[in-house]
Amino acid sequence: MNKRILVVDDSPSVRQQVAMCLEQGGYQVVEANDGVEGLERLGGCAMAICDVNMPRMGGIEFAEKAAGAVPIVMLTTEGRAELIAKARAAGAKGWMVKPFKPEQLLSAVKKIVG
Amino acid sequence: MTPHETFAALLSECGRALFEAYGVSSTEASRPARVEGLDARVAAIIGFTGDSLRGSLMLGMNPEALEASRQTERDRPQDWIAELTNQLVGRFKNRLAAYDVDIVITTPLVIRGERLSPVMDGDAAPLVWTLGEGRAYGWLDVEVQPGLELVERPGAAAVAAEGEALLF
Ligand SMILES: [Mg+2]
Repeated sequence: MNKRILVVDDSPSVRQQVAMCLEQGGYQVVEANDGVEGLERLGGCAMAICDVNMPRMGGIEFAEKAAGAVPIVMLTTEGRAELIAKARAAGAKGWMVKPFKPEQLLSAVKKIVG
Repeated sequence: MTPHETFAALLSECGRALFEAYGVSSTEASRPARVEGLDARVAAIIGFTGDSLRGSLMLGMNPEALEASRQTERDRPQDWIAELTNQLVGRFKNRLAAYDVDIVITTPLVIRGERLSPVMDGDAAPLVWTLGEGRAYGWLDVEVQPGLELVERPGAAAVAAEGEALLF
């Protein structure tokens, strides 16, 4: 069965673009609108791709709570080193600045979940 | 350059680079002499605050610009303009980091209407990017602390490269 990947972003546009990219790469996608929903839908997922700025629960807090369960790559417009360090300390496995290049995203996902 | 001139230059540069990243080339941003001809039908606005400044950025588009930049057909115009604005402000924020200015940004708010055009102090004309047949409009409304001087210091704050995956 195809590996399942959780995509957490408050932008439907980004979720759609990421889902298209991952589905073309043979993965199954589960979407969540924020960190709270992300935690609810995490079960059965091999990894999560997560935005930073979101309502209710942002990506850093999500990483703090979920990084013990699955590898997480942050996908965000934010690029500052101190924020990247925070995500890393929270247990995130990677960081990508939007707009993403589909081939870069897929290769990062393949490296992490195979 | 005054802070406002610097902001306008950064916005122009950020917009051009953003549209290019989505495969749409845009001509040099310019300001229209009159605002009557503006035809933005959908726009999104994001607020930001920092120690020395606060303001908002509104990005509007006519339907042609929206269509030219949209990445998937399933994407709703209001979702796409919200995300484009988010990425435009994100870029602006990352560029400001080189001036040692940090801002916190809000989530986008979408406005739909006819000939959208906010009223602003001073120069009310937006920056205009031409995307093929389409037009995108950027309004930047910033209040700065008196005496603020913006000096670019490359490397002041390290910013990750766009699009590349950084794996820890
Ligand atoms: Mg977001």
